[in-house]
Amino acid sequence: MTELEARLRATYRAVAEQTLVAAEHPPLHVVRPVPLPERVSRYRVVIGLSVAACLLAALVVTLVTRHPDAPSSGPSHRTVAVPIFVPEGFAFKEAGSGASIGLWGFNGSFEGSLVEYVKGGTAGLVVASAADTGPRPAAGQHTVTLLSGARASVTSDTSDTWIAWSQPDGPIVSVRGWGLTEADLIDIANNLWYVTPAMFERLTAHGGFMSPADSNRLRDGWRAAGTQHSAIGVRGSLQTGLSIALDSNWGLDSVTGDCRATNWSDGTPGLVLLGPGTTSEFALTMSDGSVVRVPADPHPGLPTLAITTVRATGGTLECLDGGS
Amino acid sequence: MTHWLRRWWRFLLACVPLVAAIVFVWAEAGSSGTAHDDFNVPVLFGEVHDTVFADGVWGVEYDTLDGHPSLRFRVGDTATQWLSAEYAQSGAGSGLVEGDGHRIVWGLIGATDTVTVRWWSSAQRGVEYTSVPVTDSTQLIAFELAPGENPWGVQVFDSDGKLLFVTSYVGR
Repeated sequence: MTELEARLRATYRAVAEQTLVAAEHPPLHVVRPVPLPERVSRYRVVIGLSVAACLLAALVVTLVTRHPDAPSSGPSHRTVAVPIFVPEGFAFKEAGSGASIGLWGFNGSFEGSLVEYVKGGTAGLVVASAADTGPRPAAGQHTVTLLSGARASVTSDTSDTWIAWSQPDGPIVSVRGWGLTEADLIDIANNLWYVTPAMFERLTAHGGFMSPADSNRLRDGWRAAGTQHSAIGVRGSLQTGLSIALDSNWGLDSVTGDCRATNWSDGTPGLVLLGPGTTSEFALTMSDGSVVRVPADPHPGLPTLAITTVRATGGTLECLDGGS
Repeated sequence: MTHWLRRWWRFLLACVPLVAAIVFVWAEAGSSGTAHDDFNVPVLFGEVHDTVFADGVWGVEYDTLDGHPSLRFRVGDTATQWLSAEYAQSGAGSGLVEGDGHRIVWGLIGATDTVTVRWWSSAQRGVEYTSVPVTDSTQLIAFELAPGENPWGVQVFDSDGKLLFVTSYVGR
């Protein structure tokens, strides 16, 4: 036997010994057969499907029967004032919120919002608002009562005029204008749409521009209680101008405080009754002398406009304020 | 001979920066040579018929509603345009066209005097421009969009600063 053969045999022997040792080790994992699960009960499947169907039906019923145009927020959450009427020729300049600003007619600074429109270099207006409900406006040169019933303080100097007030259950507001008359500013103050900060953010995205579809959409839609007719809301954009709209085919250029009625937009017999925001009740005298009295139900974001609907085709309308 | 090759190789290496500089300058001139800076105009009215790149400038040709090309303009320091009679009667229009790597928003306004516009986009908020007269009664305005810039809209003013109209490009 050569040396090479001896070394090979020794190697084979060693390998054989190792192999035997490994074979004697117990298996690392004991595998036991597990019986297959029994077939799922058909009753369980039926019960599961029934529960799912009930949940789906509940969701559908909720979506169908919910108030389709209920405003998302009440007056106290609407802390930003946005003009829905600006004089002809005025262009949107800028809008923003979150900064510490001074409101004309109020002492101190507030974390508020601004919307500014200009007409050339000669005229402009700024609507400022802040969520603070405590401050009262400083005494101005005189006061005016807005169509919402709020008492506003008016001040003028050589170039500017500003109107300041605390909106009941809402923000403090100041409207400052230059190159405008006091009557113009009161018109603007009577045509403000109060929105939530989230709504304001959507309005000011893209520099106040909106797609045609968004601009034409009735926003913040709302219906008087007890009716499915005539949703009122706001249409337009900060750039193209906002306007109060009723459904898809009727709109108000501005709130003037008139007491008037218009037909339901869906063609069915009925009237939309409109009046100044101080109106608490509408009285409609019919041709036979009977009087129908309907409480006003104002839109929470449009406090200068009272509105309701009534199933009637005509009559003489009277808007009664809270003191009448 | 080897010595001569080494010198030639060193000369070539020395030329690399120079050649690179020449190529860079040429490329830059090619990308901005259409002088968008002083005349940035896109067009919108009817359907865009074609985008053209000729004589070193980029332009747009579009159709009026009757299907005939009514206007062609070039983005460059000299613009050539012609308007059909149909367009002259049509008032204002605006649009967004894309081609050859350019995106241009344009507007045509029926006015005898130049008008001021304020341009709104994700990059510019109310930046003021003056229109370019293309006929006795038509003003043209156009903006080339920077990469990633989204157009929002245009405000058009008369000479007194009174707002004439607003066009929105959001959602187009």
